[in-house]
Amino acid sequence: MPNLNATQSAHILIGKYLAGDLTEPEAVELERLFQADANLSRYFYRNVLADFFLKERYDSTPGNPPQTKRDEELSWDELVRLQNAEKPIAQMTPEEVAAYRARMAVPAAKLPSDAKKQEEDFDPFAVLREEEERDRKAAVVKKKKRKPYKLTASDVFFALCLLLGIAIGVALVREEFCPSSHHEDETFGFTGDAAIVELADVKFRDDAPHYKRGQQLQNSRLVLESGLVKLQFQSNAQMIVQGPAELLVQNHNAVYCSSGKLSATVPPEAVGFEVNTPSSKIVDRGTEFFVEIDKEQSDLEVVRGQVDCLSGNELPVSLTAGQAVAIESTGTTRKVATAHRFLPKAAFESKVKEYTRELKTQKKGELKKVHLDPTLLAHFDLTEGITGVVDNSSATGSAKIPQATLKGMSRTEGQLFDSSAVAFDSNESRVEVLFPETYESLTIKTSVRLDRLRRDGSVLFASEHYAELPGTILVQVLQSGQLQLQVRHSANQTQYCVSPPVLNRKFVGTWSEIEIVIDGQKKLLSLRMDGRSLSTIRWDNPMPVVLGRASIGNVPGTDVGLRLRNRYWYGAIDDIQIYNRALEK
Amino acid sequence: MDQEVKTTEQSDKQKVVSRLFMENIDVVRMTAFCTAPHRQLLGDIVNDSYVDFVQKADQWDVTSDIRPLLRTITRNIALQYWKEHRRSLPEALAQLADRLQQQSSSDETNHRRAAELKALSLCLEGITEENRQILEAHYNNDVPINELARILKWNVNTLYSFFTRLRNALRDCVEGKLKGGFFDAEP
Repeated sequence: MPNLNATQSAHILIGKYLAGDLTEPEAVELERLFQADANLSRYFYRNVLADFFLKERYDSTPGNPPQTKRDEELSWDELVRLQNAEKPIAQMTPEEVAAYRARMAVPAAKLPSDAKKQEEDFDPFAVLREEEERDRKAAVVKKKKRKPYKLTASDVFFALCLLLGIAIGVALVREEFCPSSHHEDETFGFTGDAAIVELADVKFRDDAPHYKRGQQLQNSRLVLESGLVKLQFQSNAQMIVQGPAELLVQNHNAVYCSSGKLSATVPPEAVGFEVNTPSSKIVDRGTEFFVEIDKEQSDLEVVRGQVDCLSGNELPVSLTAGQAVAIESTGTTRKVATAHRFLPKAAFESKVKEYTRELKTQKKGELKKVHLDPTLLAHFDLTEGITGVVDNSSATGSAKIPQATLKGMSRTEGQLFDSSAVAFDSNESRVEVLFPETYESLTIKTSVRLDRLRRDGSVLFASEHYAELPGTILVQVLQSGQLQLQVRHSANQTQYCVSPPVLNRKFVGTWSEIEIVIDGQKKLLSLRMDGRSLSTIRWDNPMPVVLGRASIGNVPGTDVGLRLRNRYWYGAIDDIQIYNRALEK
Repeated sequence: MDQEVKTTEQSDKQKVVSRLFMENIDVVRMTAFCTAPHRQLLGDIVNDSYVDFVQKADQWDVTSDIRPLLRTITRNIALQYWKEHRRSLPEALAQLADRLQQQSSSDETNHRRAAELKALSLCLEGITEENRQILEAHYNNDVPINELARILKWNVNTLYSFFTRLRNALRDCVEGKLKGGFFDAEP
């Protein structure tokens, strides 16, 4: 067999070809795969043959006339029940279909308690599905009872007028209260197929990407030497990976794992979640399962619900709660006793908590030293409180800059597990700090998370009266993901220091430490992220930096011109340190 | 009167030819598929072959083996359909179709439809109930893949892949059973 990624793609593309859904670019891709591997071409032909004989088989089966179209959509359960009915569904009249439905739908209340319990044990989503089914049926019955109504020309005219009126009204209201709503952004929170929710004591392999909490994954490789990572997929499936492990996030509902241990929890909306291994494909049916993969063998254990396992050329195997199977590298499967090797959620959470506690203690120790730094103008810990003031923790700086004022904030999840940060979620959100002096050099160091890239830029830091006075500064992230420092030299001259687009869609939702360094002595302007230098330029016209009543996370409240558009920091900040010197890297 | 007798005679011959055609429908369908491997063309090719075969009934010698003749007629008609079908495809898809046709045309004589269908029925008994239901929904009730994915609440790509793997597994099973020679004695 060829490498599994190519095979996976080929499986989907062959399926699409036979369903008549293959597009031209996909056909090109399939042809490329065939040229790379002659076996795939044979595989393709065998599939076409099987498809032909399946169609022939079902067409030639007596009592299988072509299905007639029905008005209503059937659920999967109904479809199966009807398929297994004495009379083929295609031959049923709508009344017979309705009668059959009524006969087959056993009300939950009438089930003997033990039987009901057994059903619930077998399928944890049965109750939910029953409720959905009941609601749907009620809606169908309601629909049926309604008398047919014939539309007249005046009805249509009236409806159109009404719609037009509503549309104009909505547009006016939006313009009145959200003058810049049409400037809304195109980038949204979940930008990848999955995101890293938690990390505990993780060591990534040196030559592999190093990820942070909140980071988005799209076609991303995750190589752990040790530790635990919790992933949340866009489909809502959750997975805990235990290192050493190597996996690839294939799409919003699938991973390829070549080694490691993982446990997956799949809610009903993510049914079909796939874990592909070198020797098998595990397809979830709304459940919880555990997989341990190594070169020789993969072990699959179902904790609850049902899982399908497809391996090599064997027929798919369905496993239910409490069953386990060993899949050998050849694709051969054999049932084995369950060993309960899955990592319980509680154990994962306690591990994360323990790790976080260590980190917090470590950070506290480091900050104690930082507070004694005589060049530290201000340190504001924004992990607590959303209104009022936050005291400056700097030992020397607090005399001149005692506090920061928080305005229009809310609380959000912080950088560490079980911690919080301030969230900027309206045009009024900002942290205001009064800096009474001017500074030859300045470093702003802050931990931030950007949840959305805004068309008009996301302001991280701005001097009061920016653009009106020389020496004022503005720091923002542009829609392209570039971090930008602007220093006003004169009424019509500004110097820009711009980074590459590092805060792009991939980094949205991720915590980063950003440093803005204005070095008056060396005449340099620098931008750094997570200790890496992003950009350094020569400062053409060094002058004292003027901050005034600076605004963090938004344009200054007094600046009407800048406030015309929503430019606040759409995200969170949990810590900010300001030094009156240029910090070394 | 002569005219009437002739008409009756022709009609009888046509009936015989028609019966022969139906007796050898497996050969026709297999040839049609192997020459033009596209499910949707099959019905038209078989229909046209039937009309062609019956219309020219008086030309055929029904006492000898009719199968080579049926193969030739079907193949000619299938080739015409295939040419038209290929012309309607974008280049990339046409290339795939060519590849497929190349394989299928060289493989025609290896398939005995009746035996394969019997083996397939046995193999279908071996798959899980859920897989059988999904298969039937698509192949028997013509529920499109997209619709099926929606009903099952599966990712549509998962379903494409599922069908591909299942078909391959069934193919393995059928070939295994045919290799055992179990169906060789069947007429």
